[in-house]
Amino acid sequence: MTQTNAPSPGKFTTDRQSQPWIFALVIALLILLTEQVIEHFAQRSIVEEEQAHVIVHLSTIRARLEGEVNSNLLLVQGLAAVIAAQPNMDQTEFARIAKNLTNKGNALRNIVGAPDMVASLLYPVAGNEAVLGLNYRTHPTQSAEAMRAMEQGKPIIAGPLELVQGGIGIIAREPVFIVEDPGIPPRPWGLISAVLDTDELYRVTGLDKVDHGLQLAIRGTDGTGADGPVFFGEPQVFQQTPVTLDVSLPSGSWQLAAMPAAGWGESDSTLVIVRILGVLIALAAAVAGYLLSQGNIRLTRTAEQLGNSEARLRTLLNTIPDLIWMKDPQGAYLFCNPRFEAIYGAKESEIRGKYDRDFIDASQADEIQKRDQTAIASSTPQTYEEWVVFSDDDHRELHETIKTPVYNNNAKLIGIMGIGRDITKRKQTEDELRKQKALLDRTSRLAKVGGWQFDVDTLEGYFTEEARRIHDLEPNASISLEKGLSFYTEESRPLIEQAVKNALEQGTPYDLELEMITATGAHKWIRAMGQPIKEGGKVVRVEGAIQDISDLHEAEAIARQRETVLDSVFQSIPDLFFLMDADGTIRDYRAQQTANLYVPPEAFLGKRMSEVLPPDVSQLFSQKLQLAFMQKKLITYEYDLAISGEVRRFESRLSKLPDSDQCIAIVRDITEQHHTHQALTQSEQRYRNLLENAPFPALLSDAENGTLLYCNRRVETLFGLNHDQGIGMLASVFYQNSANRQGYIDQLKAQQHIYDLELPMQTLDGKPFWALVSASLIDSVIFTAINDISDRKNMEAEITALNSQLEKRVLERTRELDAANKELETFTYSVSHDLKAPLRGIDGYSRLLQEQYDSLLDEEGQLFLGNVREGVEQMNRLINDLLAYSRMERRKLQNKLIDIRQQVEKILAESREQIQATGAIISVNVDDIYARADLDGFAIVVRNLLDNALKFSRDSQPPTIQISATRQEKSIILEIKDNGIGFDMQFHERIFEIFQRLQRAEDYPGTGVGLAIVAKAIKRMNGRVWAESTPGAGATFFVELAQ
Amino acid sequence: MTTTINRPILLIEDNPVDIDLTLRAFSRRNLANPIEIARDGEEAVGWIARWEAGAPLPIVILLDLKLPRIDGLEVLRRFRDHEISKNLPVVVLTSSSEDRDIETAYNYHANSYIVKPVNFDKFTEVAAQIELYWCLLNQPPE
Repeated sequence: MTQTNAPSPGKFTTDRQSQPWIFALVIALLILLTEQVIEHFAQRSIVEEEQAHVIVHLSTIRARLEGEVNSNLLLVQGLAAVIAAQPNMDQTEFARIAKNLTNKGNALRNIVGAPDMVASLLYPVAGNEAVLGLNYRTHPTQSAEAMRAMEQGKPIIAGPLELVQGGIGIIAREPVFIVEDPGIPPRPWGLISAVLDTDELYRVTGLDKVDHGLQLAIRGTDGTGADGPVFFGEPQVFQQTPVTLDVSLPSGSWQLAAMPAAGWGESDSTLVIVRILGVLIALAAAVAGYLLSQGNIRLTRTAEQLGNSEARLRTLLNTIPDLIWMKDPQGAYLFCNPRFEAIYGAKESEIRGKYDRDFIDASQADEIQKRDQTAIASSTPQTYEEWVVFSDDDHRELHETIKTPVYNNNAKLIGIMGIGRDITKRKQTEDELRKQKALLDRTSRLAKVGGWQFDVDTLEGYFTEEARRIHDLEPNASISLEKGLSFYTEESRPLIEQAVKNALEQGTPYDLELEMITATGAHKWIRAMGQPIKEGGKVVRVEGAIQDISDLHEAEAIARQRETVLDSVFQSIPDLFFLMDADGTIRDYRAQQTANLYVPPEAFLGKRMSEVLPPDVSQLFSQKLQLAFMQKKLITYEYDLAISGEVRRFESRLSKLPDSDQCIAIVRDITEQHHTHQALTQSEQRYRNLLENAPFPALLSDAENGTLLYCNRRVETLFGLNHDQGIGMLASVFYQNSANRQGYIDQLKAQQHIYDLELPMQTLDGKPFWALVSASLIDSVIFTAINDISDRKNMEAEITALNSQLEKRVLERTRELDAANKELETFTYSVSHDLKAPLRGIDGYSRLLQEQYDSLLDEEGQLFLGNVREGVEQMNRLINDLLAYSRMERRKLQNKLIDIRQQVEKILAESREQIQATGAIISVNVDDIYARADLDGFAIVVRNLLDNALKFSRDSQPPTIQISATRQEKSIILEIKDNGIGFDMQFHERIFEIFQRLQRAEDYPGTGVGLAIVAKAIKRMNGRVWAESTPGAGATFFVELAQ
Repeated sequence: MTTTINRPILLIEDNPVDIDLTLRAFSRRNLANPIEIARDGEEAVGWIARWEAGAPLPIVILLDLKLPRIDGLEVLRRFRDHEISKNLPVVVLTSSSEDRDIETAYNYHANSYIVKPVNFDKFTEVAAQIELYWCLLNQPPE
């Protein structure tokens, strides 16, 4: 038993024989410590458990109490109602009714009726006779409560109180008023009282039972609640932090209190023993210490006493379920209890003096050692949680370990003591609790429900985590009623303020949907529920819940909006909308109200389709509805319905709603479309017939793949096809050169239409022909009309051949003509020279004869010579005119802009002498206009016309010539008007022909070439000349030239 | 001036009537200059060699266009081609009033173009004008 690490005298040792006092001290300390620690742990969990247990029991008792009292009060109220109807009820009647009413009553002792406040009616009479004649107005103990009931006009619960008829009872008093006339206030009748036997009440409600292990107490006589005197149980219960519940009464309340019969945390008998023993042993140890300090050593006796103590302690240590051990500062075990032995699987004697590393691996041992040292260094107890493995059966326990450094009187460290307690179960429970709390938190968070409460006195409040989250508040922000209300919007705040006011003042709960702006400025819709909590008849706090219903609100808004949209949709489209159950019951119906066939909703809603549709249509509908439900896809069908004597056609579309047993139907009046469709079908048939019987070959082909889609009869004949053989055939087989077809398709795609394209084609058996093709591209289909133009082509070829022959001939003739022209030119040229030369000779020699042989000729000879020379002169003029005419025909013309006025004036100036000789008056009225013509040609024209006018107006008095020119749209017209002899209009064309004369040469000499030259010049200038005249009234010549 | 009086006039004309009438017209004017006559184009062109050989250059050449053998316009062209005759005054005296003839003549640098009048009085007048102008007023090249 000798300590291995050599203790010196005076130091802590375990040798009880040599130094029992030290041991006693240690033990005393140890015991006190152990007891405190154990008790602490135990109480903490036990109190929680006990409270829950107490609440359960107490709630049951409260419910029974309230039930019993209120049910009896109801009986009384029933009786009061009967009495109000029969105010003059006698005892017999009263007893009969009361008997019926009280049959079921348990604690009800008797019922008393007191008209005019004097007890005169009673049931049962036996045992209660003393009550009769009691005057409530004057009774010393019962008067106050009775009169209060009458004054307030409300039932009250009085007592417990001493009964007139003996015993203790609780009385429910009901004032009775008689309403005789609605106009005047009710007349007081008196009082009805129901007396409850308290003992019976306690028994019925289970208050008197001792086996529930609770200490119960009730206070609040006459319903005064927590302020009233205690009338059941021990008053001190209220001083030991009991669980309390309020028992609600018609007027006021009682307060029910309970605690475990053994007190809080006292139920575990082990603890009681631990505590008692601990105290005792500590006391003993202290006595020992005291004796030692006095130096009055009666060692042996003390040792004996100590030995006894040790024996008792041993017993304790051996029975305690906790681990207890002590090590010296170096870690060697000083002692341990049997429970500890199980860890290392060794006896205490084997453990003592050994170290942890002797039993477990070094790292674990070091860990333990480190904690021990931490506790020593801190000089205070240190708590750890450690997993402990029991080597006897290898099971693990989580232990809460308290390590306490132990010092002797000289404050010298003597070791470290450890107490370990299995907290595995507690931990599990705690974990479970934590999990449940977390679950609750999560749940409330998911539901977005937060809790809150406000204290009425302080107006301070409390928000749960979720409530804070809903408000977007910091977790630690303080809450007050005012602050809580400040979050609501302007619209919502008056509502919540009024609700809170009502809750505070009248105890009214509320449940509102409100809009708020959170601390971070978010808009939310919330449901706020408030429940005022009364204590002692007044509201002490308001509790409630707050739920974020923004999503719900939004969903409702969306639903409302969808509703509106749905309605708007069916207001704006002509379709009818039905929502139906599987049996065809119409649940919703929408339609355009302005529609001609509008049927109001009441005609459909709630009815079945079979009720609103004729049988045949209804049967069809049922089949289709069944189909829609079975196939779960859109079912479309049509039906006819006679409406207002007119058969209309409808199209119905049925569609089952997903995840629902309902189906929607969209019904559309398609009468017009139906008619149109029929008309279209007829029209199509007509056009098909037209095409089929068209007198020309017509076909349809696919623009993309080139296959034939349709051929009419003429195509079949043309291409040599059997009936329907062509369809699907490639159109290219009918082309002599398939490249032609591609070009034709390209052109068609570019222009959409082709007219009269000539293509070399062939029949199915390869017989070539010429086709005249016209086609249109319509939606990638080509409509082609073909004509066989082989005959025409052949004729054209002939014509072409003839034409080329003809052209060749023309060319030859032209060449001949050119040669002839050339010849003529030479001829004219020669004439101009060769005709003139002899003339010149004739004239010359005639003149010489006249001059040199004058004397040899008589007068007649002279006349002859004069005539010869005149003939020569005439011949010369004729030749000159002919040359001019010829020149005009041959000369090259220039095409210039000519200023008409300028040219006319120039010509007049050149002819001034001639004009003056005739005495003619010439007026010129020419605008500032221009003509496109040859300058010389124009001058020749004007000169000749002027000569002409002067010649044929020479005998007028005076000759008057008006020259004017006007501008036309594209031309100008020059007009030369004289007042001469004129001409008969029958000659108006002939006068422009060469050598044509209307007058005799001796009257009006001339060659008859002048106007021919004019006509020739005008013709060559692409102009027009004409004349108008009346014989004897002058003539007007018109010249039209291009501008 | 003394030299010009003696220089001849070369009349190129095939029609004897025209030659006679021309000579008569000039004789009426008492013309001092001798008149040389070429009766066709060939003869006219032959004068080039004679001038080059030293024959006196004419003071003016009167040229008809319609000539046998060599056409009058061709004669003019040849005159103009030769150094000796290229500057000699040539007056075209012809019956033709064709635009084409007039244009061609001037293209070959004719100095004047006169249409022969049929009327003898007028013809005489023309001869007088020619003599006055070409033989008296005009200063021909040396």
